Amino acid sequence: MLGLTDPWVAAAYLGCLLMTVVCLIYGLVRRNTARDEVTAIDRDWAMEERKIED
Amino acid sequence: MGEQAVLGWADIIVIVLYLIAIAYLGWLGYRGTRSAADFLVGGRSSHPIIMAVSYGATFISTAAIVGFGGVAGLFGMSLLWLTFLNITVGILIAFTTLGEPTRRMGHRLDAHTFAEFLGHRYQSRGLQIFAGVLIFLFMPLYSAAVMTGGSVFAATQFGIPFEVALLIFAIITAAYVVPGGLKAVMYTDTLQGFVMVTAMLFLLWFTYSSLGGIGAAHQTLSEMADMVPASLQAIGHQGWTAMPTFGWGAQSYHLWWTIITAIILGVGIGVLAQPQLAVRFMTVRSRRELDRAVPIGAVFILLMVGTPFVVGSLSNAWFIDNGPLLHGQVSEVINADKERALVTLMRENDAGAWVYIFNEAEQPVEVPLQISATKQVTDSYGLNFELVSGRSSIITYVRGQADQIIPTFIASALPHWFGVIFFLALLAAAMSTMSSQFHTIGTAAGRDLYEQIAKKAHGSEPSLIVMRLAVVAGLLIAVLISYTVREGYVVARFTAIFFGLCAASFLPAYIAGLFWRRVTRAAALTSMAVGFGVSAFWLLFIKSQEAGAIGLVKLITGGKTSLLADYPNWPSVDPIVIALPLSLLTLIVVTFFTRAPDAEHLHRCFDSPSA
Repeated sequence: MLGLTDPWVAAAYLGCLLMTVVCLIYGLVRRNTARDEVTAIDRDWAMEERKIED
Repeated sequence: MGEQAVLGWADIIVIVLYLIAIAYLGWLGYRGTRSAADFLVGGRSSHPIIMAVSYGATFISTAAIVGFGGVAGLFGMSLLWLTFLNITVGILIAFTTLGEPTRRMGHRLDAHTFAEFLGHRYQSRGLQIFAGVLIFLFMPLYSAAVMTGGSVFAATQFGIPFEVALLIFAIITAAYVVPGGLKAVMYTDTLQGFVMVTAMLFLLWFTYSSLGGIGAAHQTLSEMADMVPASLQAIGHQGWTAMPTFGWGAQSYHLWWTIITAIILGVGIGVLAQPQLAVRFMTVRSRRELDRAVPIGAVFILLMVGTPFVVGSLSNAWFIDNGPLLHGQVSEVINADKERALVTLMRENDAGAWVYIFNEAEQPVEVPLQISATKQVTDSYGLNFELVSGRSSIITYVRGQADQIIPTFIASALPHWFGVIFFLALLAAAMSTMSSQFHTIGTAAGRDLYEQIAKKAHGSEPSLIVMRLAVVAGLLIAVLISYTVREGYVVARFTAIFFGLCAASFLPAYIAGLFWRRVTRAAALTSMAVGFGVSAFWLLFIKSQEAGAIGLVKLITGGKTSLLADYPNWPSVDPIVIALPLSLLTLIVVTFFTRAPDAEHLHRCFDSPSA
């Protein structure tokens, strides 16, 4: 297949493409599913993180 | 070979434009919102493309492109299983399974480094210090891999000595990371990501089209299986489009165990327990942002890891059609119909006579050649013989040095201006990875070691000095390692060692910490100690490539490179295959023999209100 004689290598080649498609579908399906909010704990953490970075 | 004129006007214009763009974005970043934490503080969402590409740019470096791409040039497309794991494990599983729990728990426990995360989760200062020490000691190995990869490329592309390239690389890195450039400025990371993507797309298109398209290119490579050097055939190499021979108990299975355990499993699984990547999940704003980053991350990794593996392998086909002509005398016919033979290489001396070329061991060099011409000539004794001319796989041209394969292919096959762009892409990849590596080294030394051991408050002045000193020390160690060790495919090996060590030491404690309430502090500590101890023992005494280079095992066994040197295949098995299961087993067994953690702490870890 595709000039690749060893089925295990062909499987890896196609597997990479297939998993990328799975990831694309996942992102498309779930793009608005999860909640998107920043809590006080998240903000406190980010303030501390910014101090460390500076 | 592959040495080119240093820089033309077009090259200089490309470099200047790139630097202006980086400087502009850096200025934009420093004026306002710059890092992931700023986005979070400001309550704004960074675009998922920015999040995914900057994560990918941290993950992918010259180590993956030059190091692993070169290994693919040597061993073939079986390495695509690593790309498969990088997408499946490194993106899909990591983002969808580990990302959100890490983010929530990290925020609840106010953890800012990976070691601190483990320390707070298990309420153990000792565990944080232990993890900090491991990261501080071994991260420079990974930085050395990135630095060697970039320096080999610069040396080949611009025709300068490796040592000069390394020095320049070290100075650029120091300028970037020492004065406080530790902060991952997401816009510049993203631009660097886009430069990398564009360069990879062009490289992939060029390589396939110069070999007649996807099917034809693979076909040519498949038909070259008989051109694999004899030394690689002996360890199980069956061609660049075939898996190595599988089995146990003979030298001819050596390659399978090396590729599958060290390169594919070590790196493919090890990515889950990479300190600098796990910490990035905490900088994400919400689960939604993680979900949206999955497809972009997958495409990015497919291009950045898949391309070098395919191109590295196909460079063998390109060189057999277009490589510089080599000359010599046939010593053994490989395939008469295809005019392929094992040829003893010769060169014409100043007197016009043909003489043998010798390798470092003073032996005549014998390589497989695709013969394109023959003629009668005389040797140094005045005797007539038939001289054949032809081309070989890229392995011949780089003398088996895998790290040279991608740089040599680009310097030889692609236009020079592309080499410059590719160099900038590599520089970008190296810088984004190294800035996070050195950030991790600095915070490991300052926050996890100094502050914990000296019991200082977070962010105190001496702690900042320790961080900066640690970055400088880490940089010096990395440069020293790059300067000293260059044999074989060190870039990929150093990366694999670091990833494997992280997986065996941290992975069970990290994942159990996220999902298993019953797991105990004692279990996590012993699991980490077993994971690290077994890995270290294996690297020092069993895995011959590393054990032989370190040399301790030779003192004990009187010159052997492994305690199991007489048992084929054991010396090529990677520590991860032994150490990770043992570390996991230890975690489970010790948990059941120790007292469960208190409910109040578990409530804080898992149930307290958060996003």
